[in-house]
Amino acid sequence: MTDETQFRKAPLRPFQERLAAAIALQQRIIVALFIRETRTRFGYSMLGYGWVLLEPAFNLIVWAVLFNMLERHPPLGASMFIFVATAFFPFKLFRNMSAQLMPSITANRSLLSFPIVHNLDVIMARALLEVITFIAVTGFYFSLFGIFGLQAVPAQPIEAMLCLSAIGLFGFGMGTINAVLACLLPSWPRIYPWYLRVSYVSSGIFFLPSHLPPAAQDILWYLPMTHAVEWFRVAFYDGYESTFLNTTYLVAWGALLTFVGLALERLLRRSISIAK
Amino acid sequence: MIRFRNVSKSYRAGTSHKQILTDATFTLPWRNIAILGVNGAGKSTLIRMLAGSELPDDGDIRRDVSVSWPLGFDGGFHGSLSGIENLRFICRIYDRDMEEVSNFVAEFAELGRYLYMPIKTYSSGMRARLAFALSMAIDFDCYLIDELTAVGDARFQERCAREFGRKREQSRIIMVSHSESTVREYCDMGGVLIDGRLDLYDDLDSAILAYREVLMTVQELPE
Repeated sequence: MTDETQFRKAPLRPFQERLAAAIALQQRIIVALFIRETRTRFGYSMLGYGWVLLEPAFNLIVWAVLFNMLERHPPLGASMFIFVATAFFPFKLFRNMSAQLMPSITANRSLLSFPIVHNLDVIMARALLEVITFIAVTGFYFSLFGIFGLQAVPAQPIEAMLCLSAIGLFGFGMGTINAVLACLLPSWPRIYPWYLRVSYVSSGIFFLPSHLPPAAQDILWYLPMTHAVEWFRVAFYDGYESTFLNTTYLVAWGALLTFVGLALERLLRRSISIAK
Repeated sequence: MIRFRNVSKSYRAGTSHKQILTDATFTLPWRNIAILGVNGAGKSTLIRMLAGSELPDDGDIRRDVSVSWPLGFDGGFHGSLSGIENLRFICRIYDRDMEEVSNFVAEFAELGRYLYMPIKTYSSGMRARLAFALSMAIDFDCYLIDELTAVGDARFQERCAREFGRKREQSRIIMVSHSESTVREYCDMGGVLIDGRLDLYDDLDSAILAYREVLMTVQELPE
């Protein structure tokens, strides 16, 4: 009897070993979730993947045609298509990231049965899926532009990468906050898309902020996504310089939202992790 | 062993507010433990807290053994994924050999081709069989059982009993049951959940005795 009651306590291993074990565990869980999320997001058929690839085409065509009717020349470059695409894809990264992370916790209550899976693992697995999907879809479209003789590669590729990373961070922070808010306010997933719509039309899909009257510029300046699109265009078009752009502003928003999102998840974990 | 430190937990059942633990501190040793308590005392919630699938309102719970999800619990499955995909997911997070686990589960649960079909097409019996087989396939130091309900036909139950007998050599169980004979078969000590605390008894007889006393006082109260 006494043998059985002995504490089965393993000797404490060195810090590096424990850290390595923790990283290995987290990696394993994120990979497992990534596979699970991919399956449930796209389904079994090629249709799921096909739609993700086709959907931007409809959007791009509609915007480019509409824009062509209003104006003959794009404010930058020679192609209306490319001008729209340089706003559409960066915005898409933010929109998908922030919206797809939103149900991370609410749609995965069943994972509470496996306590080694944490809310944050799900959020990270979804973010990873969004990044990979974005790279595949955007890569596909810009390759297509290249085939049709349009500009396919940014004039400053590294600057473009930095810009997309900043957008990813901003989307991740917003998405993490959304994931927590969706648990607290059941109506939040219906409210958030309104912010996305406002943000979408004001981000510069069919204009350059510097061409707008100063009063409008003053308002748009406060929207992080306007800077995001402007930043991407500065990186994409050779010789385009912007008086409007403040890259630090976008990065600061991204860092702030990520910090707030992670802190909210940590502080409210007990109340949001409730099994149904 | 599992250590509760200053743990408080309550839940709302309709309009009433039920306190399960109030600033409770206790240590469950690595033994076969029966959790006893009247209906509504919060035994199931306690089991979920032991599993880690429900967090306490206050205080903390530390485990230095691996603890299973409640045995046969199928709430962790994803309905649109197939049985085998759910199995692979569990193997990945618990770092177990997929080949080994899927062979075991295929033989144990006898789902045949259904193993490759979405869980949502399963009958509740099939879900339970898969969940039970999976809990058996993954080794834990401590298994949690919330009412050992009969699953499957007599042959399946026989297989469960045999497998469970094997498990008991290297694992311990913590179980909730209303059946005294089941508790006596599996457990060698017990705890009574009452008035926001868990009273632990070193031998099962004392625990059952204490539980009977609780039952008497409850029955004397007018409903």
